[in-house]
Amino acid sequence: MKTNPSLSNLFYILPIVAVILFLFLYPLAYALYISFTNMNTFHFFHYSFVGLRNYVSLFKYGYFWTLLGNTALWTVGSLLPMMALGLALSLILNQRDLKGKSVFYAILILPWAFPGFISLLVWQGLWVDPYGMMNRLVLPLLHLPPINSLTSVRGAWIELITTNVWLSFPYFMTVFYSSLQSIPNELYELADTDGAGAFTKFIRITLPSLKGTIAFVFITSFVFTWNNFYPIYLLTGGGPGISTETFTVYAYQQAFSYSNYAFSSALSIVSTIIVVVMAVFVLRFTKILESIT
Amino acid sequence: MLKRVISLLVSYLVLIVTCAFSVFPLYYVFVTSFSNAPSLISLDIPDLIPSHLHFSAYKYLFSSGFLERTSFPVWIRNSVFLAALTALLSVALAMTTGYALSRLNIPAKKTLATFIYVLTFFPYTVTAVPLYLLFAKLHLLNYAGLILAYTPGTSTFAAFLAKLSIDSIPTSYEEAAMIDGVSRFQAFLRIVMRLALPVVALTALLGFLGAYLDFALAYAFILPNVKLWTATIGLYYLAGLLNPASAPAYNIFAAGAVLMGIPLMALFLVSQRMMTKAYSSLAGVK
Repeated sequence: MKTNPSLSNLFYILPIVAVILFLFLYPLAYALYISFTNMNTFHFFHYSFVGLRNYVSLFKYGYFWTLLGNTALWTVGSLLPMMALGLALSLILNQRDLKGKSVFYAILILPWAFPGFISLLVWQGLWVDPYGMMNRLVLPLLHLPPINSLTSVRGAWIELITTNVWLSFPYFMTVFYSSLQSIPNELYELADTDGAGAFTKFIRITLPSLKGTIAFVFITSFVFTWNNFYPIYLLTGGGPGISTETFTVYAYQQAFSYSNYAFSSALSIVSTIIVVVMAVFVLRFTKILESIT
Repeated sequence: MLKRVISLLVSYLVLIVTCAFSVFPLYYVFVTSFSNAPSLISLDIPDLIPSHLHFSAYKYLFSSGFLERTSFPVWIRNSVFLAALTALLSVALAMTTGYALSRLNIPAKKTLATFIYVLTFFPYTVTAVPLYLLFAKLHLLNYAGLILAYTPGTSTFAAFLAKLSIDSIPTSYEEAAMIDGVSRFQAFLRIVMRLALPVVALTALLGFLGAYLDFALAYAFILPNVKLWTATIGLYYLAGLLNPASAPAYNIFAAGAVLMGIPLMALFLVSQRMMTKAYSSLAGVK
């Protein structure tokens, strides 16, 4: 070790470099290679180069724009209600004269704590039309029309987003709640002596104090939801047709349900490019990198 | 004063409604697991308030095999095996990387750190397809392949937590030990790993949960071999999503979901507490 310190230092970094090379970069390069071929069930061993054909058909038949629209709707459509509900609950829990906070909090955090994959299988059963409990019990109780995600695109989105909100609102509630508690009480007391109303205090004190947290949570969750695979795969399978299909889900299905490896690889490459662009944007925006490297 | 009372009443109302929303699916699956309803159709609304607890679903889960004599305990055992090895590998990888990024003089360290951070944004489904095709050629569509595929995700993320946590440990401990003749690697094993124990535990837990709850890769890699099935594939099958015709009764799925979910929920709550601690140390760095 004394003879050549830099050589022995490499021992610590080699494993991760090997992992990145063989399990991230090599597969990505391989996906890029496959995406220029016609590899599928019929041409698994004897595939040939087809140039940009997979990418051309991705754009020519409108898949790209449909998938982009769906992915954007899925991401923003989930995030806004999740964050709104999380923020509302954190504000409610943060009231000083509210009793039983810890009990409410312990119950509200349960959807986050229960393994998401299992919850999704349970929700899948709940949403089955017409036997599931949502259509038989919950929706009639609320005087709402039944939801059939097999035939109605609107119904499929309502089902997906409701379930996704259930899965994730406790995360936002927790993050907002802990950041609300770090706002000094003196600010509110000062505002009280100035005779400020609840709404003014919210706009002038609470929101500005939460700005950093909201931005950070929004951007990181944006990438997470964009890539999120299980809710759509398990609940609607991208249906009806491909109307709730996102990049991630569609790429997975094309490969493992239809053996369209080449087309799936083209999709993966496109979605990777989008994710990398977003990641770079996140790094620039949040300035996290300066603090951790 | 009246205004305050009304706003408190509204607060309680909102909390009660959202609590009902939170609890309903979990209550539903819990109650169903103690019913004797063989299918979704036969599950009636009055069944949600059970008058009698049936343990038949639980007995069935533990007593009999489903397909080719595999059963629920076998799936759980398979999952635990996979998850434990993934956890072990993730800890080794994350700690050595974190140590190198924090302490050692390595060329292009900053670039490497940035690169690893960008990788944490990658969905693992993006590499799932090429990994599947590559592993098919290398005869790795088995547990070895699955562990290789699971490890990078957790370890790249955990490497950052490890780096931050090692940053906060004074170097004097290791330096003193190394002056006493202990090698750097031994100092790393005995001193740094011990002082960074919370991150070691957190990495192990995240690696374990990640592998245990994976479905996408396991489904792609090992579906044809029923004997290798993990608990998530088993549960997917029990829910009637793999082959509706051959799936056993719905209350058996519910019992499986409860049995698998409750311990993982406990693990999650533990890791949550640890995450909060790890993040607060991260906030200290900022």
